[in-house]
Amino acid sequence: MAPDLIDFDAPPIPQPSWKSRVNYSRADAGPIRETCDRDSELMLRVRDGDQGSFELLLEKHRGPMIHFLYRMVQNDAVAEELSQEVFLRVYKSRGNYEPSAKFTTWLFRIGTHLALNWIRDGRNEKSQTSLDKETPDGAARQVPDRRRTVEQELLYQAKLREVRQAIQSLPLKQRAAVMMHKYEEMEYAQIAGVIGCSESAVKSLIFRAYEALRGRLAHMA
Amino acid sequence: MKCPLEFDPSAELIVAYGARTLDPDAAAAFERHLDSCATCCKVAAAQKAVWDALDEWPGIPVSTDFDRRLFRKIQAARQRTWWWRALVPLTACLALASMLLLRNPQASPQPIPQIEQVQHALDDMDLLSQLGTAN
Amino acid sequence: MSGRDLLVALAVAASMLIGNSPALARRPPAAGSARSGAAATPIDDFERMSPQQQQRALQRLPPKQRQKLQERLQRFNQLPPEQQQTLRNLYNRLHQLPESRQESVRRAINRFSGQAPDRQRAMRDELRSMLALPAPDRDARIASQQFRARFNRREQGIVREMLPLLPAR
Repeated sequence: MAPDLIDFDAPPIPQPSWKSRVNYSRADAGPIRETCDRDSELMLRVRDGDQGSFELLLEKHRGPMIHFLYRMVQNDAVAEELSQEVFLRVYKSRGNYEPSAKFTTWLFRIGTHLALNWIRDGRNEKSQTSLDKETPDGAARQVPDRRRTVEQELLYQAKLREVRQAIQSLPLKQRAAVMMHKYEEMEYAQIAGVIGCSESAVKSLIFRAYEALRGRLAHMA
Repeated sequence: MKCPLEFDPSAELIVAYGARTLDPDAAAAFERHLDSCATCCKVAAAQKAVWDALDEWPGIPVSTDFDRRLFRKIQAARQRTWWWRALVPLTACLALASMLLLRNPQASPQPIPQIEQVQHALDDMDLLSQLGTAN
Repeated sequence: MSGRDLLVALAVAASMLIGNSPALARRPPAAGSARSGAAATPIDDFERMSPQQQQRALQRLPPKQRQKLQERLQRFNQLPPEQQQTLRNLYNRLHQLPESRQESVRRAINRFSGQAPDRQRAMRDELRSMLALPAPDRDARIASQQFRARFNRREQGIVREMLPLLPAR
């Protein structure tokens, strides 16, 4: 844990008032360091046999990967199994790893590939929990929000079901692209790297997807 | 500002505005345009509704045995014959566990859900501690 | 199962036969444990359990994970009391948010930690300086040109998402 933790409860540091700070500019902000890519460095260490680095990568990315796959396949057990397969493949491929792209691009390429294959194989038809069931898939593993009344909870679940159905109605690549754009906050270029198409194709996928979603979800405003 | 939907039917600008990834100047210009363009206003509101609705969809918690299962698979992949060698200690463990259960019946597993919450709380504490100074 | 796992299993078994595991022996309340008035976290709840209850709870985990959890608990308990309290406060504010907002905040913290040290400092200072402001003023500040000029889009998003971690004024 960090030795000197930020303490928001401490008295605020005296500073000149916001309005008096007039000299801010982009130049003051200094060069914005690309976060690319500590993960690749860790992966190179994994390649060299460092098990601890693999555990660090796993710790950092297992949550986002499971969330991504869950939203893709909409089945929590399958999402976990596929995530396991993703990290197993990462580990197995460590010997050939070359940091030609961001680590997360490579990671999500594997995840997307597995999810799309799973859905295309039609395995979801047999094992996917029905969206029409009272308790939506995944809800069982989520701690209910005790601050909601029963009525609010029902409304929330209905809303959630509608969102999931809207996402499920999207063509697969659109679905994957939107999930990465919205929840992983990836740039178009990175999504293109994951899906394996041009940046303009990704834009087109994403805008068509949002257009469809606006048609289905706009009334929720 | 010319209506973005006229030259960009895909509404790229509106999506970026909804995602708050527009440059400040572009965002300000678009906000001024919104005051006078009902069509853009409607699309921007719909896009915001989509964005907010997607925000409502939480992910799922990770199983507590996720890593254990994964490392087991990795182990299996690394050494296919591993289970033969594991057989002896596994048997020993099982025998020991049975012995323990006989001697100390109170030690039988009793579901106490807090342990997952403790793990998740520690995960969050670790995450929050990343707010520490970078020096 | 490795030889080490077997050793751990044997150690746990032995401690159960003897009585209380020394590793799990009831610790005196940590100096930084939840003070009266502050909401307790699951960690505090766990610390309040009897050694037997702790033992039973831990039994649900596989040996390696159990050991890791105990090490993490120990690390947390060894933090200075003020840091523990700060973390508790942050934790409680995080958990007052709806699940989806919590996730956004977690993502923002991850992005925050990926930024260069000087940019982290700038964002941290910004958040600290907002402490004295009531919520509407914080929003106004986030929307101001000066704020937008000081931080790039990514950083703006990080600061905005982390706002709920600030105590209300």
